[in-house]
Amino acid sequence: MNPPEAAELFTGHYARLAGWVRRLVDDDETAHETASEAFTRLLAKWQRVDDPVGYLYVVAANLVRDHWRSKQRERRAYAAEGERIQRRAADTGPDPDLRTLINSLPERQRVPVLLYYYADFTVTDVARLLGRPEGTVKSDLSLARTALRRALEGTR
Amino acid sequence: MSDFDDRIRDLLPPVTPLSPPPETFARITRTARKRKRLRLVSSTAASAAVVVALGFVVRTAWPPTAATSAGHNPACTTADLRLSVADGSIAGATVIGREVVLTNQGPRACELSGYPTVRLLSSTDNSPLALARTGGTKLWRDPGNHPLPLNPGAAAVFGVEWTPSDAKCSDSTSSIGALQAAAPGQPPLPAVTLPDAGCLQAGLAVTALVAASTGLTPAG
Repeated sequence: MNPPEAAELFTGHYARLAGWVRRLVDDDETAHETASEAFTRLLAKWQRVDDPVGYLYVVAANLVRDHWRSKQRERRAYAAEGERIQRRAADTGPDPDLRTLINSLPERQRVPVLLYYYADFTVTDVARLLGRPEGTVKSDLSLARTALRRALEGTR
Repeated sequence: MSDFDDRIRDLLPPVTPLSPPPETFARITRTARKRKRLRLVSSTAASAAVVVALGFVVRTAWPPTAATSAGHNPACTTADLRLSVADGSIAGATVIGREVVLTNQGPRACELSGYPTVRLLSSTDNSPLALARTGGTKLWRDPGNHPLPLNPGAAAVFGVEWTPSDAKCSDSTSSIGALQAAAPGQPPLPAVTLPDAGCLQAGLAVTALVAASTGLTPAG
C-alpha cells in the first residue's frame, strides 16, 4: 500500500461515498460502517485494483444489498413474532418506496441499478466494474426499468 | 437516457457528503494491514505445503525495478522532468483522453519505465478527484512496462483517459481543473491545468510510457 495515495483517496472520496450510501440506508452509522468497510477492502488489495473509485462503489453497492437482505430477514422475524409494530416508520428514508422497489428486483438487477441510477455510472462503466458484458447490463437495466415503471405507475 | 430514467433520478434525494468520524482512516489502514497479513500468512502456508509435498525448493529472486536492472541510466527523478499536456483532447464513444508529455530537462540521460501515477484535481479547490493506477485504456493500445532511456531534451508520452459525466457536474467537486503526474516511484511534478476537461464520472486510466518520437498507438 502506498500511504500517501491511500490517504489522498480517502480524503477525496470518503465523505461522498458515505453520503451516497446514506441515501440507501436508514442511518449515518450504517453509512459510515459501509463506507469504512469498502475502503478497508480496497486498501487490503490496493496493488490489484485498477480503478480504485469504481471498486469502492461496487463494494459499497454489494454491502448495501447485503444490508437490505439482512434487514428484510429481521423484518420477517419481527413479523413472525407479531411485532409488526411501526417499523415502517423506522425504515422510512427519503425515497423508501423506490428503495423497496429496487430491493424487490431480482438479485442480478439490483447492483447495476444502484450503480447506474444512484451513482451515475454509465452502462459501459457498470459493465466493466461488474465484469459483465455491456449487452447483459443493458438488458438487466431494461428489465429493471420495466419492473420499476410498472410498480411506480401502479402505486403513484 | 430515457424520460423514465429522469423520473427515477428525480425521486432520488441529493447526495449530502458525510464527513468521516475522527480516526476513521487510521482504523481502516490498521484493519486493512491486518487482513493483508492474514492473507499473506495463509498463502505462504499453502505455498510451503505445496513445496514440501513436491520435494522442491523454490528459489525466488526478487527482481530489482526495471529501471535499474534493464537500463544503464539512472531512473529519471522529478527534478529531471517537465510535465506538459499535448494540445487537444481525444474523444472516444464514452471517454475523453489527453496525451501527456514528460520531457527530460536535466543535463544527463535518465530512464523511465512503467506507469506514471496520475491524479485529476478539482477545479474548485485542487483536491484529488481520482487516481489512475494502471493501463487498459479504450483510446490507445497500452505499450506495456519497458525501460525507456531519455537523453537530455528527449520526451516520453503517455495517455490518460476518463469517463466524463453526461449531465452537469453532480456537485462542485467533480469538475476537473488540473492534472498532476509523477514518474514511477517519484514525488509528483507541479500540476498542469486542463481547460474544458468537463466533469469526471469514473474510470480514470493511464497507459505506460512510450517515446514521444514513437507516439501512442490508437486502439483498434
